[in-house]
Amino acid sequence: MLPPLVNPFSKRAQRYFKLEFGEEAFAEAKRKLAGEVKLGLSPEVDAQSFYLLLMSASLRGYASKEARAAKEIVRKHVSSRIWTLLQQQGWGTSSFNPESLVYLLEDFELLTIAQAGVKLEESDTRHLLAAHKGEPLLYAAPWHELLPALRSRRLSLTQLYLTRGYALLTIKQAIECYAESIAERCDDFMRSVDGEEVQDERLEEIADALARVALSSMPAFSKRAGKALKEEHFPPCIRATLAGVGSGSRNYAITVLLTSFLSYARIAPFNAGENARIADFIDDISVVTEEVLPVIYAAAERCSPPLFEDQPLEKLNINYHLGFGLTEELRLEDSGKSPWYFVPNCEKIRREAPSLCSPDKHCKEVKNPLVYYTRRRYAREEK
Amino acid sequence: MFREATPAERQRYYREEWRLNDVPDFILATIAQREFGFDHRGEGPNDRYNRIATPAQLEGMLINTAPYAAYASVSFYEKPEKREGWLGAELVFDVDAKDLPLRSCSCSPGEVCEVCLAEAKEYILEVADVLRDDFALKELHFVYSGRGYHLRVLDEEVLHMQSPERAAVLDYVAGGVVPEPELLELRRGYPRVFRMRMLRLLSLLNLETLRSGGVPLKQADALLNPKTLRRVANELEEGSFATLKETLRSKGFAKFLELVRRINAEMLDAKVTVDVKRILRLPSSLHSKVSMKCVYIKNMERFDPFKHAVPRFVQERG
Repeated sequence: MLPPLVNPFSKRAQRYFKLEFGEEAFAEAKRKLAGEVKLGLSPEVDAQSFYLLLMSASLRGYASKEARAAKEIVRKHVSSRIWTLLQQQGWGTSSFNPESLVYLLEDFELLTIAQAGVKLEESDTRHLLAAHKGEPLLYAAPWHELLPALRSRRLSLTQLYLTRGYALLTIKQAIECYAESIAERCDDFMRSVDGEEVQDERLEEIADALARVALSSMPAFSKRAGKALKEEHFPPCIRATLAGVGSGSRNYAITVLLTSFLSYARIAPFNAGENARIADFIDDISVVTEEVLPVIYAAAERCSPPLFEDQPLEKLNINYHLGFGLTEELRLEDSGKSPWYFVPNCEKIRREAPSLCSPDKHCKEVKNPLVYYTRRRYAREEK
Repeated sequence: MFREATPAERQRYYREEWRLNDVPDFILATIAQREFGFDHRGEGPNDRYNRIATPAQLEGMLINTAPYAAYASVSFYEKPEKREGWLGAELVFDVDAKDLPLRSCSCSPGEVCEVCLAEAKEYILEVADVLRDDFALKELHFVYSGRGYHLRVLDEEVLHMQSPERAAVLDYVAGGVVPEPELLELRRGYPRVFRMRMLRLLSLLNLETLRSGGVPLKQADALLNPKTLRRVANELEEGSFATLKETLRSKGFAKFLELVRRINAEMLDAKVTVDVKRILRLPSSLHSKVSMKCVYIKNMERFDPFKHAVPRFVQERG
């Protein structure tokens, strides 16, 4: 007998893909939206409800908040469903057979440690048990099976135990990796489909519901100017830059990263939009000259060698990056003479200045240092 | 040596010394899928988007134009002349001796010598060990780039990885993340990689480096005592941090781990690893700026750049 469907992208599930959806599939999609896990569904309705969610989200674009919400729903749903099925199979009792999970995860190469023939050293077993709060490493997956999950950066290879090409995993890690892999495949699916091909108004209805889910999990930020900078909420890369940077990464760290980060964090932390100018957000240039620039200059001074010592023209370059053009004197009326450079994404920073990127637990949730800051600086206030 | 090659020397190299056989098979077998780039006048590889259909065409091109530098992409394309239809890319690690964050030689910035080239070689061999032991990768190819080493991985598993996945592997092999404290002493897995990187750095540490990482003066001084360093090194091999923790105290220890992470992250050129459309110096071509050959290395243990990568015209310069 085939195991229940857990992977909407498995070959088995893909047989049910079509451009027309019945009432049952819509009802199930709504249940998934509400976070309900229903077992015993027909695989056809089940698979189609996943596709419905993703096709609805794709109507708003695969990088939209609706798409992110749909991905998150799929990830949570897959994970919850696996746990529910495992509980039915005796998880948590002495009768539980670890191989149950191996059979459950379709299109995913997972073995028990015994099947993989990997042996852990005794001292490592002790350390790992303590680190995983008593949960043993039961499974082995070839490391490249985890590649889709690495893309989201929720998972890091450095947190896993790799040996002989296998990542050894606790049951919780195995399920997380699997659910994350499925969630990442949602992106490919949403890119490959066009929800508009489905002539059904109900897709718009689902897309609206996804938008509501997305908004409910976001702080109600509004477009407004920022408040005084709070260093304790800065991400690790900015803190590393403030501490001073070596000669290889100085220019990038100070002129590109720190300048954009501090200016946006202080002046326009939310939705500044394209072609934004500093003058759109502040009436007093002293916000730049007294709150932003001194912090940049102090960090430049801490660089090795100090940035302006051998490159005094970088001061002009900083003004340029702030949108004032190549000028020594900052005046609000010059704002907009050059682009106000936005904060680079984490991926770009890792590439340009790898030594600055030392992610902490909050980094995993964001793709841009400014989002890290706004979430920590303003989330509590909004609540 | 390390003096720029003249146009006449370049011509002599490609006409008299260069052999098609010196281009590795893994490039010749996929030649029509790779983008080729050339630097004709020492201004950077600005002649790009070239498709070379056959080894004979490459031979003709190099012998006739004797470029200042020649490059081939690590990526494969349906249409390399347009860089369209990306089919995959080798996974590459690049260590440049001139950019090592810590060197035991006294080279000026941007220069290399026997000592730092040997350190770069030792380091890239360590990277390869991790790829073999922990990732079970087998298709590892070494290239001497002229001032450092490229490690090119061609296993099927890596060819379709995108930048974030490549960055994750890079973090692992470089030791670019401080391990979770409770896992630091694991005998295998990532914490061992981090410890091995730390072990290598021990012999290169000095007071200035430790202080730049925020290690307090007194603790830094204590660590640099040769006896302490030896004990720390022995313990690290066994997976213990006892003396290191005792010497540096809790705050100094945390700063030291962060310093090691930072240095580790600078050992390899991350841009090369994460770029899925990179062009790399073509093995067999001349690195004209330093007058050395870019060499595909068949036996890494025995490879000596000063024996195997010096063109004849340099030996005859006198």
